[in-house]
Amino acid sequence: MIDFLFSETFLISSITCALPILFAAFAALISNRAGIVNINIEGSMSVAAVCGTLVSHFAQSWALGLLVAVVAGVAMSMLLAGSSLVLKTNSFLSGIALNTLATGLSVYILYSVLGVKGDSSAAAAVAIPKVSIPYLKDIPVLGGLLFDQSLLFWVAILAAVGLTVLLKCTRLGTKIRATGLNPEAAASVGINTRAVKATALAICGVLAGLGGAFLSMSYLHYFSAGMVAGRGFIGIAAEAMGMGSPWLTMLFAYLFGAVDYFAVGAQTVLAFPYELLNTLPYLMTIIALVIYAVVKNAREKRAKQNNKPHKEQQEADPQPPELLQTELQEKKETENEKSVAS
Amino acid sequence: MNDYIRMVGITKVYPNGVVANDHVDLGIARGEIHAIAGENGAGKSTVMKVLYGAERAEGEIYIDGEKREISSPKAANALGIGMVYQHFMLVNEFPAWQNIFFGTELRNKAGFLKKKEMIARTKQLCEQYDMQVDPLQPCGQMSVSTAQKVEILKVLARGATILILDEPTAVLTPQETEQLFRQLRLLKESGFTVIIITHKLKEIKQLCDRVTIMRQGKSVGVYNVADVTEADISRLMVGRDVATRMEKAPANPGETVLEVQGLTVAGPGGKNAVDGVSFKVRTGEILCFAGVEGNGQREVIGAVSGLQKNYTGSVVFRGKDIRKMKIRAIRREGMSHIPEDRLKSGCDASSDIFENLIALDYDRNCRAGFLKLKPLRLRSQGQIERFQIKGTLKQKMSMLSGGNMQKVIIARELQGDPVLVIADQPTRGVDVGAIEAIHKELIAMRDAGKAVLLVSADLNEVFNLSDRILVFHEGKITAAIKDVGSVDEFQLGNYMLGIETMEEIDA
Repeated sequence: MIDFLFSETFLISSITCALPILFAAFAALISNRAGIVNINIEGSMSVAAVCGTLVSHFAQSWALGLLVAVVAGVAMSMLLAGSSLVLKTNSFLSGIALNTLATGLSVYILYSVLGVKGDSSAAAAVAIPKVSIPYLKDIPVLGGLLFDQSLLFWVAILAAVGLTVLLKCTRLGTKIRATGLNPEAAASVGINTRAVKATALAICGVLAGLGGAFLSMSYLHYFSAGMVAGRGFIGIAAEAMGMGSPWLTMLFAYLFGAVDYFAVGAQTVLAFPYELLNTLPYLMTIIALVIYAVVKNAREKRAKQNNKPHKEQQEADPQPPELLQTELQEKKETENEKSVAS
Repeated sequence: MNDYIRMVGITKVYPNGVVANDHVDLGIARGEIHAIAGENGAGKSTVMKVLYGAERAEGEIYIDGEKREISSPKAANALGIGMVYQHFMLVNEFPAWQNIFFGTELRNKAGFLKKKEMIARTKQLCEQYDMQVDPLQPCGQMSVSTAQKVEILKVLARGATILILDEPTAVLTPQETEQLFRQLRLLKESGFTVIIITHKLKEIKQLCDRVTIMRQGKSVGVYNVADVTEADISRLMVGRDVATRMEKAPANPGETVLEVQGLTVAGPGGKNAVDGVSFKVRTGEILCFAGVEGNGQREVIGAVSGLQKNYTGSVVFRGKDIRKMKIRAIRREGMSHIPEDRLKSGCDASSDIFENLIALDYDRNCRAGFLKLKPLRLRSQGQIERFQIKGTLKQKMSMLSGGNMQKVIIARELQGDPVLVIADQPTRGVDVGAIEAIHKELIAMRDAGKAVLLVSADLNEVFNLSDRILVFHEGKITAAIKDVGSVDEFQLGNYMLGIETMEEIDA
């Protein structure tokens, strides 16, 4: 058991298990930063997975498959953008609806192309290649860890760097953060917050698409119904615990990935009912979120006691006297959005 | 006229029928500090928001003789107009430099932010305009006056030459106000045009060159500040001719129902928002809190109504300690509360009139878990008729005008024989007809032997209703006036501004 936990295989396989969670977490990160909760990442991944693997099989090109998976991810995100930003529905409800849609849609696509409803193992995909660097990959531990990984491993590292740079060092990143933190302030300097949110959702879709592609074109080489298995949601949990930082998010995604692999790998070394082991990733997510919530509440309580004058004072501001202030404020906001949009 | 900015016939009617601006004409000269003065709800902010492009209205705007369409704040920025809102538009988590350059970030050719240069520019701006701001400090951690400086710098960094400030001193201490005025004068000397929205007479005299006075959505006139006295401005603002006296019999005070001893509430920045306040409220009288808003009245009401438990001192209502009681128990004991913000805490705007009217005691009008709808509807219908609410039981609150909405709240709060009625700004933003009805109801409550605690920033209301007045200034009571007829508005104003304080306060 101990041998198993500290084996090289465990270390490396955990990364493999963590990658789809990581992409989901990054997808959640970028949309959350823009102030939109996208709970449809799960669904986006599943549609991306089926589209990617089928295109990869029929075109005999992993690159084309990957591209189509990403496009499918973006398309799913844009459905959410359309309903929550244009039609102004509740993004949670739309997200739930889209998740349900995705469950059916992915099987429908599978059925209409292959005529089967279970999985596409009959039409195996051309897998996304590994980046194996000769000689370097033979270094013990490190070789397997870094130099014999899927291409998407490096894409994930690139995404972490890219997200950090985007958020910290670019105007778009500033807009995204400000839109998430204080949309009114953003609108007041002429930023079209809806466009910013839509852009963030598009990036979110790209990342979810990559996560889906990894599942059906690298982790496995075919799509099977329900293969995302909650990874989209676990990703959202990892992001919440990473508190908006790409690197912390990466850490927690790895942690969840490790638990995920443990649940699979331990079945061979532990005499334990595998049905129970399979619940471990989800149980772990709940436990982790509880710990996170407790820590966060304690921290906020402390911050409150430290008394931030500006915020407190704003609460104590005399209300502007005009009639029906709140109503007018709301109206003004929508008007602002309209005028900026046009 | 050689006005730099000229606004002609600005008319703004909100969708709910409120006329905020009614053919307002306005002229502002280049390089002056111009005050837009008026009472709450006179339309000062609205007309400035129109100039800043944040509100669309009928009428014409000329800048430097040229007719301009200002359709958005961005368009206003392009014309060199910048506005500092009363509620700051800052991202609290961003440091000062990032807020100042927010939306106009400096970038290098590759599209990355030139952070160092922006920080350096921020420092330079601070020096240029003599403002002390730490470019790296997140705005959420700043004091209000520093955050305000960031807002001003933000406007200046955008190249504005016309600055609009909406009630900039409302949240500042006298020292901070002094500092702000120094900076504004400095801006004026450098050729900027400054417009400030205010209702503080002293500040107009201190700072401004000219003043445009507004009343009830109309411009009453433009005056050279040097030519008018504070009393003149105040008379023009209030328009004494509209003041109508309520007929009421002398008060007949009875037993004490509410006793507050040494109430102290911590405020922001280590200052006490309420500082050792004691007073009593008796049955059969209307006790009024007068004072400029933000001088502790809100915190006192918070403590008295039991909504805010974070205070020292004691609040005893009918012999019971409020702090230990739940809101429902306090209400059952006979306290009713007409809150200041009717939309936020006075009602549920998305429910209908009936649901709002029964919100306080629906649980006591149940049989086996079901509402006794028939008698409740009958009662509510009666309230609608008695208070002349223009609406039906099934009508959504959000569809009502401010005055009608307030009547629904008052009808609910006066229902069921309260002992003490707290009326916090009960007639703010309410039309004249409804004001009279509300005043009559409050006086009727008093005559029926109830205690009424009124909070008002409207001097007319204070004089019309009060039997006793407590004047608040910076968290303390500066005067307790027993004979309301013995003071005039001017005297009251002195107490409100803290210029004078009564030596012995028997509240």
